Amino acid sequence: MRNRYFVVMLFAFFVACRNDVSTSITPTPSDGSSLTPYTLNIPPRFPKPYLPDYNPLTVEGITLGRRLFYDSILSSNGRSCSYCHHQNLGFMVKNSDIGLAPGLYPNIPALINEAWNPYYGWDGVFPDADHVAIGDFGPMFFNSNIVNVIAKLKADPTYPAMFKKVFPGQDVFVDGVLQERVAFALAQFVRTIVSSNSKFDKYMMGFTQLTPEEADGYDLFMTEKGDCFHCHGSMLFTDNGFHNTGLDSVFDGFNRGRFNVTGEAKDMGLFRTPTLRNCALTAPYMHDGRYQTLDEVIEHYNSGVHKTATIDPIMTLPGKEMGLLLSNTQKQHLKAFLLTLTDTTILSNPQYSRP
Amino acid sequence: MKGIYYFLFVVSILASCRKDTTESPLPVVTSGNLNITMAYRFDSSMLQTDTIKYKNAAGYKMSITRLQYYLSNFKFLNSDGSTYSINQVCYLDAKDPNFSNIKFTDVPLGNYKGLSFTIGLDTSINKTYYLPATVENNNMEWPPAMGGGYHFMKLEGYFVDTSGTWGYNMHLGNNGTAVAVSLANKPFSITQTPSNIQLKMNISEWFKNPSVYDFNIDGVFSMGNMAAMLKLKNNGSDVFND
Repeated sequence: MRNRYFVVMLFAFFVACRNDVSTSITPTPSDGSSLTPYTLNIPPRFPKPYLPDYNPLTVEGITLGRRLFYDSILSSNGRSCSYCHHQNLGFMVKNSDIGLAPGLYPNIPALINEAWNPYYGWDGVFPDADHVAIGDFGPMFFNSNIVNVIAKLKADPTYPAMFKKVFPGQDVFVDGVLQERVAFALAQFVRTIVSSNSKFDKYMMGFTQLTPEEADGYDLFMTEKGDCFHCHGSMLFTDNGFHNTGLDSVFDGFNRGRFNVTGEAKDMGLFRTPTLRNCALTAPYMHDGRYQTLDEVIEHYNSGVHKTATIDPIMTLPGKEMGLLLSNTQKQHLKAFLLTLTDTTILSNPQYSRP
Repeated sequence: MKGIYYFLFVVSILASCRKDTTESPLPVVTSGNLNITMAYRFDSSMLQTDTIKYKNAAGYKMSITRLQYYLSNFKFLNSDGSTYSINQVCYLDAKDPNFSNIKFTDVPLGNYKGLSFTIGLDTSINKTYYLPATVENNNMEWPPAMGGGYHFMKLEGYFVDTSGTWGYNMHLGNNGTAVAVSLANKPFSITQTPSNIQLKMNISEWFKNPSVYDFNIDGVFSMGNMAAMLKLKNNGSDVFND
């Protein structure tokens, strides 16, 4: 009995002293559990990544996410995340893998440097990476039967302990909860996929030189002649903004872009700027995958721009309203520079490979 | 016996929560904080972005879709003629509430008769990669091939002339185009409680006084066009004369 009073007293003492901690449905693995914090590699001149407090990177969470990424246990059709996101293509998706015709569906972007991505989806419909994968359980991708998925995960010799470790004190094997926790773990893994080891990166560090063609392309890219840098600038090669780059003159369906999220006329036809890193590997291009080659993309900016009310002002240089009017040589040099952004190391980096 | 535990229980809670009441001399407060709230207007109208509703001095109806800029080199003017300088670069965005205020801490207490600052960056710091690699700073980089450093300002939107609607991009950068602003008669006080003042930019002033900026004559792209940038610079010194 005496001990009970001591326990109550001790408990009261700690309760009285604790900081005010708001209740959250999200896990807080740093609250005394033995999870191991993971420090993300931040390449030179990359900004601070977007790492939400409600899903901090941990070694255990990343390990779980990586295993789930490559595991078809989540689906009823044998698919896993890696079924579409191919590491040997820089984690790019081929819409044809899932039967989606180019130009008719959103083009799923490559999963690189997502830790620096404040929005997900071409129209920014997802405010964070942590909930995006919930949609993958649907008919178009995993076509999951959640009851079966839970049964399979519970029966697995290691998954229950892994989930328990990453999400302590939570019953994750519940419809609705499981999908979110899986998405959290996947987001942790995806955020660790960092691409910053291209020829261009080596050039910036003084370890190599650009060829004359590449250097000319860089000059086109970084001056008003090509004017790529205003949206694809700095080391991320994206401004993380939304722009209408003159792809269409009529907007309907998902081609309305950011408008579909905000409902504001100013956002009609605006899409999030994709990174150009690894663009040589990440065909098809544009939000709907309408272009199969970089040459087609360059030609759009060179001669195929549609002027509409929301076209980005930066796309309206007098005399070049339809495009940049580059010569064939300039277009080739611009492409040569874009190819220097290819980082082949992530294509086989074992840190990102099937465990 | 049970009562002793109850007594200890209560004492432990009170002890854990009490404030430190150790007597010590109160520190002498010599500084305070200043919050500057940015506001924007187009002549007599408060700014409404993304709407072609304003008429500039050249006679074009126009809109503002982007206004991002740096303020730096702040100096607070004391009544005795001395100045208090602040080495802080402030990024501002008229469309982003996260970048609509400036906070200065540890400003010496006193009554100030005014302030001065620079729109843009001094030559000494307008160098490629000088500023921390935030998303905002990175997006303001001015390409090395065009002189390096940072955009001092991006002012963009659309305007209407007799032939249709067009975009304009008033970008300031390159050394020599930073704008010196002096507000010698804008008194404020720094006290122990945070002080607040407002700086209001009249965007219309970029296009008049002393020279009318005509998009169709002076250019809709100022970047790489030093004559256009210098015209904007010369017009810019009074944009904060509220």
